[in-house]
Amino acid sequence: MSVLSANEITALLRRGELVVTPLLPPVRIDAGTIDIRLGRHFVTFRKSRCLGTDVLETVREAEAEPTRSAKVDRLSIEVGRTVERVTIELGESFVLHPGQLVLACTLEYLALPATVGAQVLSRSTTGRLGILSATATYFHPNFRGVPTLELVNTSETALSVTPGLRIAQLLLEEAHTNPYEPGRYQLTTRPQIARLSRDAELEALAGLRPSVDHLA
Amino acid sequence: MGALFPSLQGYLGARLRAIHQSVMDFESGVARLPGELRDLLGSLRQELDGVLAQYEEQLVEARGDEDVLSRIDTRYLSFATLAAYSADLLTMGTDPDELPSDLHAILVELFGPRPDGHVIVLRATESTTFQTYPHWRPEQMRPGTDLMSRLQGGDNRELWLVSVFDIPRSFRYATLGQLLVIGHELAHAQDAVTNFGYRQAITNEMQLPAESEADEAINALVVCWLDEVLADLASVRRFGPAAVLVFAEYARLVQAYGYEIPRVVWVREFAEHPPAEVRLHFMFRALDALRIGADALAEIAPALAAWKRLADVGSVVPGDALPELAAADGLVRGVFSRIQAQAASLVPAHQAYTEAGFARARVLAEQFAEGLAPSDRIDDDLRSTPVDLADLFNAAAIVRWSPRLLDQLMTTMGVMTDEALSDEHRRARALRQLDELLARAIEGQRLRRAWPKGLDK
Repeated sequence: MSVLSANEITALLRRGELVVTPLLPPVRIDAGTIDIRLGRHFVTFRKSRCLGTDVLETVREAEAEPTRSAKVDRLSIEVGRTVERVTIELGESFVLHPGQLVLACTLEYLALPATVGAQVLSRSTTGRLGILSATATYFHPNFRGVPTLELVNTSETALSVTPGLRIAQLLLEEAHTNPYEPGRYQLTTRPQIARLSRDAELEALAGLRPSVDHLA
Repeated sequence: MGALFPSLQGYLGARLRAIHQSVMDFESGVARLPGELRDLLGSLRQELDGVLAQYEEQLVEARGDEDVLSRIDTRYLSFATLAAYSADLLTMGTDPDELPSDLHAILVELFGPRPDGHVIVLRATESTTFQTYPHWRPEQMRPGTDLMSRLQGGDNRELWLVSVFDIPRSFRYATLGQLLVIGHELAHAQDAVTNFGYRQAITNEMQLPAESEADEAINALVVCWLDEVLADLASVRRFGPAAVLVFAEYARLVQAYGYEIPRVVWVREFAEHPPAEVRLHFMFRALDALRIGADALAEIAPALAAWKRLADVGSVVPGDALPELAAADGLVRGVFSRIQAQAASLVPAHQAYTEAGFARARVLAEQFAEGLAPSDRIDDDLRSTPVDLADLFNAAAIVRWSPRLLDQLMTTMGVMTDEALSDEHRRARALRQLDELLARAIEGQRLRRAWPKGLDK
């Protein structure tokens, strides 16, 4: 896979094959990368509402539901109970405390061409402040949606961020792919919480876990 | 003359404090309030503070005179009732987390000239229907009672208008459906600023009879219907075909809930709105006035035609309706052009929807069907221009009522190949996704418009 040049990225944008919307000035395009901005929506974790997340236990509890769709719903509800959604406006601040992980999203909605994949890279400027901005970095060709960013404050002081801040870079690479196949996080418009329901092996692993009675 | 009843002094003091506390609890429980609502709540708290202090002074001055205490009770009881109503109105269902995220800002932007002190408040309600009504902010509560006027230091009759929009809670995520608030309900709120001044002029011209009970019923209907038809026409003028289709579907939804089109004229709640058929008839006439060609509308022509057939049945309201409805219908049809002119004053020419707008919307509709959330256009220099809000709504409406484009969206989503899903499930998922994409596109469009200027260089 080869990284696209600045000219190639510009040409894709002009032809509408690569979509970054809204495209807010100043637009920063370098060899292979285009800057992306922090969006308005965040997901924080309700530390005071749960003891912690036990993935296998959550999956096992969901197994008690009678239908497949009810199991999926139960998993979403259980994971959703541990989080809170926050939306702020342009010009407002979101405070990220030391060690805190939040899910955020880009301000831009993205659509990748069928022949281009993308990685989200932390920007060095925000990285030097202590903010790491992505862990699930690769987006497949044909991705459409708002990428979820996992923001972590690794510094020892609180940091405030604001929508519109250039938070990361999209590294665009030529890719060869199968015919269009929607991914797990397609057409997303907000930060996405974990979707355990799509991990089929978790059900099998949960079945191996000793029962609570046995442990006692 | 002695007082008939024991004094309410303990009760009233406690009630005023409780109202004050309820407002404080609400403010401290919500992380972020729209500035207008925050100011209004602050104003209400100050009002309660001031009145409570005066009330307690008055009690001391009364020196236990039961007659004086009774008169104080009367005055403060009316204030407490109004204050409680205001507190409920401003705190119940107004938490931004329960409301569509960009709707308040859009309403503020589209409202046009607003009188000093005008405030827009959105409330999420359990009702299935939308409602808009004017309310007077606290400064207005006091005129009418001597004590209140004196407390205020004068007789302040200046109008302070609060436009309250009640929105069914289920519409928080129904982004296309929010067109009903922006198009129709916004017009009601704009209309209230002029205290519905146009209504009197038109009814004077109609020279309505009011000699019999039946005539009075007709007159009452006409007055109510004028406002509703005006709001419908303003909505079509602002949003074009999308306004008609979204309204038609909503009318069907409301009927399904049992909120029948009016058949009983003496129940005011049911008589406020003309029958759906009549409203659609007027909306189609307003749509015709926009002169959007048949070719442009081809993609949604079957959907429009289905509703138009309903609107074209006969020349008056349905045959089984009461005579009063038919009479009111005829009278209101007679002043269509006057109502249309009033709608034009609410939605000025530069905001009126055009065929060019619909052509842009068709391009955006193709993008929605491909799973995009278009919020701006870019030129060869990568300079971006926000798309138009009305175009976005029309684009979503085109996808919603075009079988071809809805199928395309379902293909993009991957639900067409999911054999576990029925056709109805697929369709429901696609419509939900369409609402999400539309919300996202509106958000992007608003961000682009709010973005600082001068950064292109």
